[in-house]
Amino acid sequence: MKSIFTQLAAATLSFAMLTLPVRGFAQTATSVKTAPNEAAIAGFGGYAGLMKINLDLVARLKTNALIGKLFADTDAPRLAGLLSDQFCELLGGGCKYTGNDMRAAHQGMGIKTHHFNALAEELQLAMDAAGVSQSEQFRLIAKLAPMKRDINERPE
Amino acid sequence: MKIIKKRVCTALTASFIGLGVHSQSLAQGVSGKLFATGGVSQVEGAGGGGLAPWALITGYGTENQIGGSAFATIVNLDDYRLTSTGAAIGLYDRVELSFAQHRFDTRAVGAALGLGAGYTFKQDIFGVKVKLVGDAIYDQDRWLPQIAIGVQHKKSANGDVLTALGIPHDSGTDVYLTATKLFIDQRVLLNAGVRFTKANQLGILGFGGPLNDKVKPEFEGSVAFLVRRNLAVGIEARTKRDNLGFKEGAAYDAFVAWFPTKNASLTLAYVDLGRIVIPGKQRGLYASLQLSF
Repeated sequence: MKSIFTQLAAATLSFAMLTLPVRGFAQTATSVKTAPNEAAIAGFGGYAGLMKINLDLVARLKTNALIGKLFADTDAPRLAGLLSDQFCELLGGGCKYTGNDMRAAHQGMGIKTHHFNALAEELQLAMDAAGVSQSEQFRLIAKLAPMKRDINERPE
Repeated sequence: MKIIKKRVCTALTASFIGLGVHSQSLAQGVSGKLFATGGVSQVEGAGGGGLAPWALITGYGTENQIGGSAFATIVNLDDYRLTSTGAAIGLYDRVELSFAQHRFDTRAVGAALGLGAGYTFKQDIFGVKVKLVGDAIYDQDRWLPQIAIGVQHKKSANGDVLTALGIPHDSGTDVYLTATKLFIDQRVLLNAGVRFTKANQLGILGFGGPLNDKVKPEFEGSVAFLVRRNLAVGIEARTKRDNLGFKEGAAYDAFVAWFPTKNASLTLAYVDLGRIVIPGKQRGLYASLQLSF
């Protein structure tokens, strides 16, 4: 005959087994945003896919030989979130980018075209790794390209 | 000055080491342009497509870098073979200096014309191109294309034969204006240019002739589609004037350009150069290998 303690322990354990994953799932579900128009970013795996790509991107940026030092102290999830909002907005996903404007964010950093392109090439690799199609990649790159004017250091 | 010297040294070293140094050399500030955006080497040595120069500056140098390219091209036609080899340097994504040498093997036709089988016409081509305005890659939110002006000075090594054939000049200078725009979202590159020239068959048969000895505008253009970042397919056209009365006409090609790495490209094309002296159009395979940094 089982003691009441054994029964209680079993009940607690099974309760814990049931609730822990559920609580874990619930937490994920509330922290991962969905875009107002997920269809526009479906090619990137929706907002969750953009976030995954950008976390990969920031990890790649931190180890990039040319521009890695610019991202040494960067809060990776925060930057990935800002980039995801920005890409989502640019792609028509209906998100709102809330970071600094591009010129203010990069002023005084001495950024040249080759630095800008180093980021673009890491982004292309991150999109490749996520299996984003060529046409969707070109669609995003086309939106990002004109930002070089604001990001690059202007001659005195 | 010291920095510039160091940059030049770095750039030259990278070009000699060639492939596989990309990730390392990027840290030193070379090859800063995006993958394949230096284009390939045009038959006269300028950065461009195959037949037409583009407004892009050859190589991967950005506004504070030097880039460059070297190429070898073979055009195997029905009755002739043209080989073109050369190199070019791009300065700060603004100025391009190029050199190319043409060897035009007349094979059996040479014998029929009394020049001897395999008689080869040669010419040297010195080019300068300057980017004037616009940016083909980054100005995605503007209609303005990248526009460049260029000069190609050509000097034939066959002056005596050209004189004997009644061709008035063994050298000439082409001036061209070219506009290039990449529509990234549509994955299409458009290029159009006008060339002021009196060259016969690109200058291989000298300059001017009995029907015309004036510089006239000719059209050259390219359309390319980006299949992937490292693969483009397209077509080109280039008009040529009949100064000699041999019914010289336009040239066309359909090409595939592939970049197996950032620093190497292979372009294969089917070309139709039109009539060259003898009846019948000269068609064949164009193959070009380019290394760049």
